[in-house]
Amino acid sequence: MIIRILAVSGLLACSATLLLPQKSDALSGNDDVILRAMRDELERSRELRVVSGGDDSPYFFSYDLTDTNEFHVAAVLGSPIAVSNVHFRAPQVEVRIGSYDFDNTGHIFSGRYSGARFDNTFPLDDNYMALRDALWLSTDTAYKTAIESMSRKRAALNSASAQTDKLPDFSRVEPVKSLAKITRRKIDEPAWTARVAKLSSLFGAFSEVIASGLDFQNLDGVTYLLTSEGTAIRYDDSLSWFFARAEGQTPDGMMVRDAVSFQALEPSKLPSEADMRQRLTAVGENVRALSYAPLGESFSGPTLFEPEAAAQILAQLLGDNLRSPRKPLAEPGRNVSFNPSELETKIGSRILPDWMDVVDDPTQSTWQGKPLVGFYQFDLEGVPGKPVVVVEKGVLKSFLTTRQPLKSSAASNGHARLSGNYGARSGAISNLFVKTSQSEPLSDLKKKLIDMCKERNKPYGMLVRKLDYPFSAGRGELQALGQSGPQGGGSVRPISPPVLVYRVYADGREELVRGLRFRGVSSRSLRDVLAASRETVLFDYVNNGAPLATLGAGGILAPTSIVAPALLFEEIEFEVPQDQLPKLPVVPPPHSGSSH
Amino acid sequence: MRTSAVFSLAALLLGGSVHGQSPLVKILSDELERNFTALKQKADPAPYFLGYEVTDLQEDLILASRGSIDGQNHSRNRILDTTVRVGTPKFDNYRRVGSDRVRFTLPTRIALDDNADSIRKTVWLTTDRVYRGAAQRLIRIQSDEKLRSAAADGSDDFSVEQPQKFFSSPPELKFNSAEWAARLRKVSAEMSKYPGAINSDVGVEVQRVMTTLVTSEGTRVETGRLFARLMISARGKATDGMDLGSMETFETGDPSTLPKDAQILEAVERAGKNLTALLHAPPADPFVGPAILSGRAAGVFFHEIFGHRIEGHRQKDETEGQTFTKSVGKPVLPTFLSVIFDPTRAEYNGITLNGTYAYDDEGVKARPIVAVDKGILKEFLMSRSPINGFPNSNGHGRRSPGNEIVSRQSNLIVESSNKVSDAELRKMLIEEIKKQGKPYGLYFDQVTGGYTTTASRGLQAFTVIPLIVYRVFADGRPDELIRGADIVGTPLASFEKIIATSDKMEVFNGICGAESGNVPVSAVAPALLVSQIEIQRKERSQDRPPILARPSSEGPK
Repeated sequence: MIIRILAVSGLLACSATLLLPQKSDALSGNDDVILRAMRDELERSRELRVVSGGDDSPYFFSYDLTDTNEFHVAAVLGSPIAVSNVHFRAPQVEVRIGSYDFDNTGHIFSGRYSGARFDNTFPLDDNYMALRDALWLSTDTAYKTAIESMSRKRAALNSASAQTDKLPDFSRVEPVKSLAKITRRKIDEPAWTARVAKLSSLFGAFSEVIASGLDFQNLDGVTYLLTSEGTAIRYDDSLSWFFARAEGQTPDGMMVRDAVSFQALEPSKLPSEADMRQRLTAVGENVRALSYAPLGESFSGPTLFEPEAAAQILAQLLGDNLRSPRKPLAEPGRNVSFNPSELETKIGSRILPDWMDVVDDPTQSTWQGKPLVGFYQFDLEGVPGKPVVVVEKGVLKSFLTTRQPLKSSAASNGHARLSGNYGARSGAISNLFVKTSQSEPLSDLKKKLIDMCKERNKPYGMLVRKLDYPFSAGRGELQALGQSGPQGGGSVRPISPPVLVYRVYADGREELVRGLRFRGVSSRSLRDVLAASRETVLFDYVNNGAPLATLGAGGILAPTSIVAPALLFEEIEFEVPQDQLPKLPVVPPPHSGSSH
Repeated sequence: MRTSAVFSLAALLLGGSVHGQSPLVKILSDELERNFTALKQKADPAPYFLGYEVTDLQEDLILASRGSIDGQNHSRNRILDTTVRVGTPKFDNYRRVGSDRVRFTLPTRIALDDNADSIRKTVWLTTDRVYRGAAQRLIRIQSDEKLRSAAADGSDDFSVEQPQKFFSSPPELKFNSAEWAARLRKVSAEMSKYPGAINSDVGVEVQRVMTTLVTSEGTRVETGRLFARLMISARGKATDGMDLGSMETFETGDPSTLPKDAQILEAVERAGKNLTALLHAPPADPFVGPAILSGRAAGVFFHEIFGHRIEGHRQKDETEGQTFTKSVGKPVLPTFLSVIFDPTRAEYNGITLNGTYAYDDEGVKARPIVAVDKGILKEFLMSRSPINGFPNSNGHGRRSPGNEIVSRQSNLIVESSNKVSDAELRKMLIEEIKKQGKPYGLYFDQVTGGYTTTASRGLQAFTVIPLIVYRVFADGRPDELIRGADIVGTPLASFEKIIATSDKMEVFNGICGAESGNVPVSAVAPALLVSQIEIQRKERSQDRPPILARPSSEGPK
């Protein structure tokens, strides 16, 4: 398992170091054995050549290493079920051969290596020679992998007709030097274990909750990145987060659930215990309410997304489509699994109402006094994160880019946050700010919703308060959702179902319904936004590149914040999946305390 | 012998002391009673058996390479496995049909403390889900049954066994990780002396495993053990691209008897020298001729080609090759060989045996069985899944958490009445080489393990992966190490070719992976002289050794 996260909170310490008169080795990194080993081995790697030479010579090396202390507690109803403390180092060595214009990436087999690997372990000690040894083996494997990919890529091109647009494979960047001084944090593990166990017992108060769990993961890390272009950075790379799930079953057998997560770039910035307690209790209350709620019915009509739900739907319809991967090369006729952005061809086109702007800005660390978890200084490629105007007056202006050039933009804007495919990184949102030049109070939007229903002779409109995003159910449900998307004419990618969705009647009464999912919703739906609220909310979550950012899926973790208003849609379609419902348990649940 | 372990049988089987049941037994029993009673009354189809097995695994692992720690882990898990049987013992949801591989259990983590509310709720919900899967399959196979021709083996699906009550707990795990980290740094650094070892590690793993089993039949069993292992491995690449490795391992049931530094250093040296020699050895050529398999190699040979084929459940699985299904009472091995499976035996010649347990995962008391007596097949390895002629378990139903139980091996012991000294065995090999007019014979010194296909669709073949193999010449030339030899052949043919054995027994401890997961096993056997064995040259990778020299060989900058 490799968990990496990207964040910086040692910024102050960093600038202080930079301003000091440099007599010490602090800036050169000579005081840091990891950095020294990385630099010396990277330097030596420039000698790498295959015997035959030619254009299989490396033109780019990058050494990326995250050193993390991971502490994890999972608890169920007052007791820990798993406690672990692991120190790991996740190295990522990249070697590119050829040139910036044409290299070993972008083929369907880029990154695959058929030979034996000797780089399966990495030293945890600050042992200079052992570190160099390990980097040497990783570099050797990365180089051979690049050669293998390059041969396949050439062979594929040889048998294909000429490409229409020949984009370079890798963009040039200005090297960055920034060695933040990092102070590692220690956390009180027994205290956190007790705290997590205690919080998990909150669900015991809800007899409707039949299964529940709470996870706490604290990653205290430092990331080092060195490239042959001269970039040398070291930064704090930590994340502390909770996620909780609770599940119930309705009298007709339907499983209902709710989930919540809290994330911060360091443990001290997590919500207070009282706050967490309140939000966990709300999850229990939601499951209770859903257990008794009536089954929803198919609906197509005016729908209001309250700010949190709006942020959740924007993360998927807009956020996930702001990365634009390139289709990999393959031999003609070969089936390539490729998931392009729905907005791939929409630069310069209107994708939102003209009174909306969207900016993604990783340089912001707070919003109205609250911490923004999408804040970072450098992305996975060591490129400083830049603010990007993504949508201006409703028109798509830019994607969130990595060093893989796109037709619309050759340069990286520092958004390589997730691992991508075929030798490239994937762009992702950081702090996404949805701004409006016209807005009204949320209460007016609700009135508007009711008025629209009256106009259209609809007995009710829909109000969405919360989606199941990040997704909290298992793989089976994800597959079912994935199949429903394209059938309903919507996004190829699945969309999280609503957790809290209400019918709003003419008298303003709200009635919670369950069992609905969206139908035919895609990035095109965003053009039908009619109005936005003055009230905005900060919603944050941990993106991991998995479909619907599924909770607990591994991979590189990219904490993300979205600030969004409520959104009123002209028309959203809901459907009731025709799934077989499980029976209720034959045996009633055990009573608390019955075993004592 | 490599370990100087002074080992007490009682300590392993009884865990120091017979003790009262743990709080977990009561929590599980209460919830079992409640679920079983309600399901029997209200569920259709009703279960006739319910069982909970909780495996509490505490583990410490440290891995070091060339003077630096590479990995360190401490973990503890408690995994619940649930068994629900619906229908009747004659025909239940576990019935084997075609190539179905059933899995009903939903491995579930439960509270690490004995929090009854938390555990009972988890157990309740899991029971419901497992029951549903069990009921669904029974209904499906019951209706399918009408369309199916009668199975060759019409045995019941579940045997009747005496419920057991037994409570023991292994001693607490004592492991000083800081001390071990320091030792491993020191000993692993020694591997730097062998430039051919591209990577290498020395690792220590200590475990405390405790299982708690409660069933609706009244079985209440708690047993467990400590286990510790030290592993040394080195890997390299010959100039032609062939990947080579060498390894050394020590196992013990008492972590305090793991080898001391001097002994570990000797083993590191052995692994380093073996790898170096292999890297410079000539590659094996395809060869058919006489050979000696060392005791450890013979153990693997028997485990793979014989042991897996007498696992009881394979005899009624119609997709299996069923090599021995109809061979009970018939000769299957040379008359001078007997094969015993003895899970109650804790050690052999002072070496801890890895396949030792007091009760199997179905709560059946372990006992030794004679599978082959003087060449005649007597008995299969039985779980509670009966087969023709064997209506009962003989205590070999095993699994690792998260899998369904099938019959598995324990401690396999090959006994021989045709035994000679090692020197005599070698003389016999040379005579055999001359007799067959071969340029040389082979000596298989070390093997890593192997894999075997028992399915009828696959080739009935086995491969044992030899690490250290020598050519033995008839003309008195010194033995010559070769690299990249793989043993190939068909099982039945190889049994007939055993001529004699050594009088010295050797132990191979390992982990065996099959349908029901990874279970610890061992094989004890004497060296074997076989008149004919076939080897092929190992498939060779095409990639080159690392292009640049190891940085430490160039010195720091």
